[in-house]
Amino acid sequence: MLPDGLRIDRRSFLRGATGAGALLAFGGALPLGACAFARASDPPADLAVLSPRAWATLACFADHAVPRGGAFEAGASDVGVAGLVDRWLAGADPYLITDLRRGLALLEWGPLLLGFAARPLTALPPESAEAYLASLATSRLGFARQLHTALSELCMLAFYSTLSAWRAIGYDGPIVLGLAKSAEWERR
Amino acid sequence: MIVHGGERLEDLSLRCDVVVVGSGAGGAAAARVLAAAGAKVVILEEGCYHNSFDFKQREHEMLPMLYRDRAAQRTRDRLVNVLQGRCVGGSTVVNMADCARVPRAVLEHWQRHFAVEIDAAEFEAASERAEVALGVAEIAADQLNANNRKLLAGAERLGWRRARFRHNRTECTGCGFCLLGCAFDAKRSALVTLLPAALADGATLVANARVERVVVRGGRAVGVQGVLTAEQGDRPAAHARLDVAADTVVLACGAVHTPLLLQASEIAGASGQIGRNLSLQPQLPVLAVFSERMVSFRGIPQSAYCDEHLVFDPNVGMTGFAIEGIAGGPAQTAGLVGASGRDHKRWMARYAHTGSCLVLVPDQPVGSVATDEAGRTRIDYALQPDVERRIRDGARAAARLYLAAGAEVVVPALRPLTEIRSEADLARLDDVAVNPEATTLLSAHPQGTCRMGEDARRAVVDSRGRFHGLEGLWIADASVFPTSASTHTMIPIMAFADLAARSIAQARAARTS
Repeated sequence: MLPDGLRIDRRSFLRGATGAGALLAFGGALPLGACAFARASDPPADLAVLSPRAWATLACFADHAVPRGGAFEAGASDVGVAGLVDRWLAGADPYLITDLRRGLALLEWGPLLLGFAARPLTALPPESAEAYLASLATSRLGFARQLHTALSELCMLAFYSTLSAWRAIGYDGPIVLGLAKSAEWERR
Repeated sequence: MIVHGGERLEDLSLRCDVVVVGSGAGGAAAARVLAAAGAKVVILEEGCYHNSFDFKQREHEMLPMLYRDRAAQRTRDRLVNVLQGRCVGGSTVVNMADCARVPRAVLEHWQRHFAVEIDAAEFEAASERAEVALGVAEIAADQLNANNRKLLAGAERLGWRRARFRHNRTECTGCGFCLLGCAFDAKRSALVTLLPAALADGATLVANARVERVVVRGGRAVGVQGVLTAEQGDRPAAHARLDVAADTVVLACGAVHTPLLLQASEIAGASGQIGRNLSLQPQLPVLAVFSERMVSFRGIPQSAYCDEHLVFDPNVGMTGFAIEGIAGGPAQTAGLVGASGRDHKRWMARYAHTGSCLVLVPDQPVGSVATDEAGRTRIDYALQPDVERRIRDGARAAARLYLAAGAEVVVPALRPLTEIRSEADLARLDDVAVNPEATTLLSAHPQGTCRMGEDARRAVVDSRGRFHGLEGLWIADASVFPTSASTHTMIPIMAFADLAARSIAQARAARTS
């Protein structure tokens, strides 16, 4: 029902993370922010649990999970899903946060680890980023599919807790305290 | 008296007749009986005290506030999301308020196979007392929302057995936020019934009190020790010590945490069964889209069921599956749709046209709980082939039911998205995998990690909840049930806790006289 599953298969992850650790050493020199949302926005100054890079990675993923357009216009970038997730996780079990950070690191460096491209996710052109993220959902690797699912659920939780999403899907929201309180969550 | 442990910075030492650990269905029911019998009772609750003024009907705020691990607690393989309340009142605050007793065949199964000695009439009487305390009645026909009406209509067209639930709500406004705590106190949870009654009879409730061990001295449980914690966070920091001395210790932390507390206290018993024999009664969500607006998020979310395929067998207990109406908020529902991107948005755009149900599958007690090397709760549960088969059977039956009720398309919560638009599509569900990559099952009724029975070599407690091999220690929660007690466990837990508490009161009276 809820976003979790962030603890992807540990053995598989460690196999991947060994390579990711080496890549992280030079990764900082790579251009950050080619992906659509990260290009357009700076990370919030008051991130609670995510680093700016982890935030950018999640923002790229959120754009993939809840893109603009389609059945309704609003998308993840309109409400700042990555920032909402960061705030939602403040106070969460530290292990959960650690697992999320690891998962996002793997997602960021996955294009190199999986031989998809010679750049991290946030440096990929939008079309390549979308192709890479879509490939995770149907990957032969179980942990890749689980990571895709877990992050999707997290992004859905944040997006569909906003007034913009509620209006788009015909949900008239909570009865107590009215919608003004809900708008606060989205505005902060 | 309520002590808010989150606000108290000094150490707290208390002395009482009975300390009850946990304030959910079991703890609240036991405390009420014992306080009414004149015992000095202290109730300890790990979670925070919240009341209806705090229930804001917003998923992103209420899930972290009222649920353990913000409703993200899962089995080790990530397949099952085990939902448990973590607040004063426990899961009774966030449950669907369905009230179902232990069927006679299940009790017979326990008597026959687990040496349980509970008189059926006595258990019925205890169930009756629990129902009276909560104001239980059948949900009225005019309280059914569109989704639950569809469920009944589909079952009727197929000639399947169906009914409305009994529930513990009075003057329900039909706002639909039962899973997030009732802002109107219409749900008669332990928070607004049993606990106030116990407090009125002199009990003391300590919130934000995390018990770390049961104290044993001279072969007898003589109290508990723990910490008072901050109110915020999934793992709130401790800021003061807690020490409660008591003649009797009652554990009611639920099927996941009661055995963990025993293990942390190095209390093993002779059976070797503590933490074993976990049942999760997994549930698969199924969504259906209709041409008309359903507005399933309003009205009582779970008010009707179809039990055509549910079997009560004295030899195996409860088996088969049941189909029950359900509804969640948009954030929870979004997580059930096995798609991403614009495909997912296409589905969510029809949220107001969507109905949903749960396929509830009674399982056998094959799981276990323990604490891992990092101190995290570890729930091990291997889905048995028979349960997996019944989940698939249930998904097909739920799809047939909704199609019979006029649904345009039905999708079980499986990845990849499997759309069922006609009976001809049902075969698509024949080979779908039920594993962590394909789905998330839900469990709201974990049971059975300290099972009862008269044989101390096979059971952790006796048929009244008295711990085998250690005086002064009792268990009064779902962990005592040898197999799935019922489709909904609140009333069975309260009935068992009622009997356990009466036995404690009798023993105290005998000692006094």
